[in-house]
Amino acid sequence: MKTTIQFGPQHPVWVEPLRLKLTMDGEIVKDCELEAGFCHRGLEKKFEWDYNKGAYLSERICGICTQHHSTCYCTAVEGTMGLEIPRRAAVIRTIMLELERLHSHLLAIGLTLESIGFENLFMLCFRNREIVLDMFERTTGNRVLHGINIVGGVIRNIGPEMAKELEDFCDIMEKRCLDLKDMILKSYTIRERMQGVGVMSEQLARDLCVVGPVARGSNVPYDIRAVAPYVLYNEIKVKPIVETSGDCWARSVVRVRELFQSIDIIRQCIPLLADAGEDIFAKSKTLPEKEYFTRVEAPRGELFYYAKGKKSKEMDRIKVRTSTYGNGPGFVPLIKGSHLADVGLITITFDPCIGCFDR
Amino acid sequence: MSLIELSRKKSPWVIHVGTGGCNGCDLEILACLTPRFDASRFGVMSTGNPKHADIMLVVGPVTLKYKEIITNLYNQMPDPKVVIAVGTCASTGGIYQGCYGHCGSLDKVVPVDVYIPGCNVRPEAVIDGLVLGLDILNEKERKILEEKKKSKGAA
Repeated sequence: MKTTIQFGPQHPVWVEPLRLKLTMDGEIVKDCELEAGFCHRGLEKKFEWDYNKGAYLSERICGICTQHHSTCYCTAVEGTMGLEIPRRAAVIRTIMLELERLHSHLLAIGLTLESIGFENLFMLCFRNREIVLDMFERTTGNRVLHGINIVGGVIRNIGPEMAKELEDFCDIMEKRCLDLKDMILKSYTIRERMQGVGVMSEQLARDLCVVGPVARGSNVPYDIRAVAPYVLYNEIKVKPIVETSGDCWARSVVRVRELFQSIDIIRQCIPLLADAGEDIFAKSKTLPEKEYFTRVEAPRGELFYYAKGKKSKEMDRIKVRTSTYGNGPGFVPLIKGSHLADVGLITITFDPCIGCFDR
Repeated sequence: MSLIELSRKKSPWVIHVGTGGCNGCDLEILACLTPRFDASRFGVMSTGNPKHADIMLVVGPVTLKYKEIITNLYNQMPDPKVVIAVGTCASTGGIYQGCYGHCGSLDKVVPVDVYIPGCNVRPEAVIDGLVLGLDILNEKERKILEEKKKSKGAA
């Protein structure tokens, strides 16, 4: 007998609304339909606005990868004006980008563990995440939406004292993350629950053009930081972290290993602050008039902004293609044929951020 | 004080509804429920089921597509119930004012008892709002009990 189950839009696994219509045959999912658009606010239209205010608006597309959104927007708009940002601003942006990745990955790992019922380790992830948020509060003044990027640079400097604090933070964070890594990777229970669940083959990953940790978990070494370097990634070489098995376990392990990569990048950036000039902001002499696009590696994958100016303060068009939107079609083939109990786990390892997805 | 009233005062269950904001306030609510801020000191427990919930925490401007669902959720909650609008965009529409995809603020859709301002909110503010909401919940409970008593006396 076939039954239909409505998974969502209000479901405890996701914080945000997304609907999966599952056709069941006993415990096995036979067919799956994805319905999105519950979060659609119409932000791209709103971007036809003062380009200086756009940076704040782009942060509100997604509260988890705010820094990536605003950096991507600012780089795109700076491109339309042919503006070069000062070196110090680029260093500060890079540090913030990696801090953002740290907290986002800790959140994703925590939610994955919660979805398999490991409440204790979820709480631990969130305790570690609070340290990152403290660092954000010290450097930018805000916990989640930082508001540090503007077109032409950044608005807050990182002085020598703060640099020292960041170094201490890296040491503490690395120790905590090592503990967390041991607990996750050596846990028999977690491995047994996640290995072999929701396997995405390399061919399927390439066919669906998934991005970010999802692609890297399926042996596709695609990382914008390595493929098309932006801000400071020309100097700081990033090697994409790849896992081969493509299941829920691989996607989570990629995130765990990227924590250390981020800490390493922050460590490499801090000495660059000392000899990077004092300017953190460059004023533009022209208005945006050309077209330009930028790609940024957000915690969830490739983030794309297209900007077009019309020689006035307002922008003509901003097109956003977020990473979750690229990953969205990915979970439908994985859910087909899986158990009902695995549906939550499979979707949460894609790290769905519906605020991004629908805009 | 009846037993039910006492248990409601000591342990309100919250349902967390995200209606299309930016996730920032969702994160801070999660931070509230986790070790640093730990709202379970006040007996607050997060639940996914509206039929078990006393307090609804709503995040984000209500999008047009979500309007129907949130009224549905509100109707499923048993009385007495309290609705808390978390964040500027749930309270007034905030930065999304003028976007075509949402219907302004939460109070145009369901009645709201407590507004928590801030874009995004701080966890301290969420806890403050929850405590305020608790008082309102108890007040509503008392009114319902009094009405019951009156109707019994009349009969």
